[in-house]
Amino acid sequence: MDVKHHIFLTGATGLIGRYLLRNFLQDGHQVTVLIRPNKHQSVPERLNDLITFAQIPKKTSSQIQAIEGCLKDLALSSSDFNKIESCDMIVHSAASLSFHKNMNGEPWTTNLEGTRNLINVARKTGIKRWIQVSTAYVCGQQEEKVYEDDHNPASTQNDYESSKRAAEELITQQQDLDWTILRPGIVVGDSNSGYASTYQGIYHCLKSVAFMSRKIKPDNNGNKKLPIRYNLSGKEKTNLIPVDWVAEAITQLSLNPETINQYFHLTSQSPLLAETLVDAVQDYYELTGIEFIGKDAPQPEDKNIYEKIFDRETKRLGPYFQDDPDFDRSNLNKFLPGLEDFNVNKAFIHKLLDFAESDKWGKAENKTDKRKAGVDCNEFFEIYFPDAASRSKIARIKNLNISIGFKVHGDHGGGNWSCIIKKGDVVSVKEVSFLPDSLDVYYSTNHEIFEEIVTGAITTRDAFFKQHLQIDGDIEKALLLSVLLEDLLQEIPFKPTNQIRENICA
Amino acid sequence: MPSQIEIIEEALFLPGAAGQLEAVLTYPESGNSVPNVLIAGPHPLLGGDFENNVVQQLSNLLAMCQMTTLRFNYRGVGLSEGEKVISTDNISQFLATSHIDEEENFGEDVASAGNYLQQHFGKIDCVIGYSFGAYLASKWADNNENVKSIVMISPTIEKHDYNPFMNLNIPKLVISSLDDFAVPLDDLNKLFSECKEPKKLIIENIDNHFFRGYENWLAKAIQEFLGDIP
Repeated sequence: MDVKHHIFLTGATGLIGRYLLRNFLQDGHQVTVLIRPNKHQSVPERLNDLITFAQIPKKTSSQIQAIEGCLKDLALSSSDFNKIESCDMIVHSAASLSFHKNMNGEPWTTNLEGTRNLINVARKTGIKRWIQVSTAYVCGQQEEKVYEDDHNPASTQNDYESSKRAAEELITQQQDLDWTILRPGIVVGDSNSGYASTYQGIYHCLKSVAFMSRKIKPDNNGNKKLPIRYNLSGKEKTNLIPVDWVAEAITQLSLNPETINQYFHLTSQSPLLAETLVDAVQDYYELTGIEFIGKDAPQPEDKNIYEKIFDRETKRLGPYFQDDPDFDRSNLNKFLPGLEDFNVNKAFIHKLLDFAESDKWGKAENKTDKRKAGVDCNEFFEIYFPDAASRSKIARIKNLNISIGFKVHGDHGGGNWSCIIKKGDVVSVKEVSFLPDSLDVYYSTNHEIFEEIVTGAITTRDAFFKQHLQIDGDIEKALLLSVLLEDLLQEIPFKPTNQIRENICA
Repeated sequence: MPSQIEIIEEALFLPGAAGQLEAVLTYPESGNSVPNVLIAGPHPLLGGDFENNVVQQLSNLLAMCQMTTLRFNYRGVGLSEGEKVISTDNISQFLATSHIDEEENFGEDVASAGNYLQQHFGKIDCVIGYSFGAYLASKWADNNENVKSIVMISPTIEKHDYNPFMNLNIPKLVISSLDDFAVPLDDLNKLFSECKEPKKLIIENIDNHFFRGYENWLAKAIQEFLGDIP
């Protein structure tokens, strides 16, 4: 296992991909990743995030390089090809998770055509070793046990499964590739931290219960009831599996040459039951009321609003949660006898929910902002704000009692500030490491937007409408206060001292 | 949405009960636009003006679908005449009661904007009220037989009286987000189940009360609703 590889990794920004990248780098391998920019981040910014996630020392970051590109439209330059030529293995974990074919042709464009494009790259660069991250569901839903080398699939249930199946077939037809096919179950967050980078699939369903739980008024005894009749028996199995466990298995199997031309199920031997999942979720949100009425029971005709919402979210999950087949794991157990099975239990579901809630289901913060600060947040919050507020309408609103959390992200000049206003007076503003949960309202933005707001280039409302500013807590108070802040900045404009200094120097 | 359609945004002042109201009439460059739509925005103390994302975007997107839209600023907001709404007294009152005395008068502004449309087009095919504007729109529609349909987006049912809405015979569309801070689901369900047909309810799990990034989706839902009206 001392052999060091140079791996060409696709899907590195995805949930599994980032864990694979971390494992490969921590094991000392070189990795070249294929990344496309998204609407919030450039390729270097995304790469930087991945290096941070991988928790590798700065000096080790030379182990990783990025090629900008998109699988479905792969136009590589000669220098890109030079980078890939030094690779000796492709780990293909990029995928579209669309269940049904959409207007852009997904999931087929990425999952099949993207794979075809990547095969051409492998051929041009002479890479033979190919690790294909597929899915356990390529064999559709079967009543019989599904074996790892199953080549007679029942009809697949959606475009996602069909496209992944077709990609597998395409790979295994290539005589010049030394392939290994890896088929995970439904991949969810980290077994230790609950971390997830996105909230797809089952998370849609969990999120809808989370939101509904906040809408339900407790009865006289303080109990919250979510009246949902669910057309399952509760004994249906579903094969959730934590991402770090899957990534560990993929890492080990990828690096073992004896796995060539083999298939592996990366699934749990003790799948989660629907009743355990429901119990865990109800327990977490202190709810009762979700009732299993049997898989074959007629659909209730008088569905209430919660049932309609729940139906829609579970429909998005497609056939999953309708009872998974048994996935045979003989091959996996043979090659990785030391890999302990992961028990997906109530405590694990709570961990996933804990993380999702703390991450506000992916909306907690805009992850990066590397721009240089031009305005000092401390100066704004601790000098300008108390002074200007005392001379503005705020001071005249004698029933204005509010605690505010401001969060400005960014490597240069960001931070958290807690501010208390009593009877219109700003009685305290201080920078804090963490904003407590007990504040009335929260505002969160990155440094660039913060600078534009406080210098009057944009209004708080514009920033909010464009989703550059997030508000939380008592929303009505937060909206009212943002009107007041806008008014304050118009009445007494903020003049940062560094700008004054620049003007003097000029 | 058909983004290739050019639209004209015509800034104007229309007569209101407390002075002139600042407004924008938006329509496709090609003319011949039907239906016509009035849009009433959120509470001015909570940042509600005609540049609100939902109000402005709906106005433009529906015009791209061959409609004429009218959006306006309530009295005392933007360039509309009247006492400035953002005042110490109003904010104090709002903090204490979640309402201000002036609130009911904003209903007159909806009527003024509606009258303007009616004078030019003979009827109002649809009134769209967003948030607090949904309350004003439903109240006004209840008193005006020239209003042919109503859309309420995130209606403030916890804070205002929506009884007038219950008895409306015209086609009704209600849109809300599952996580909307201002719309308790039980109350919305009750309101909707008790109001008269024809009616349609859309609840999606999107961006609380604000529909940021979902303005196209909103416009499409409204376009479909209006297209289904015989």
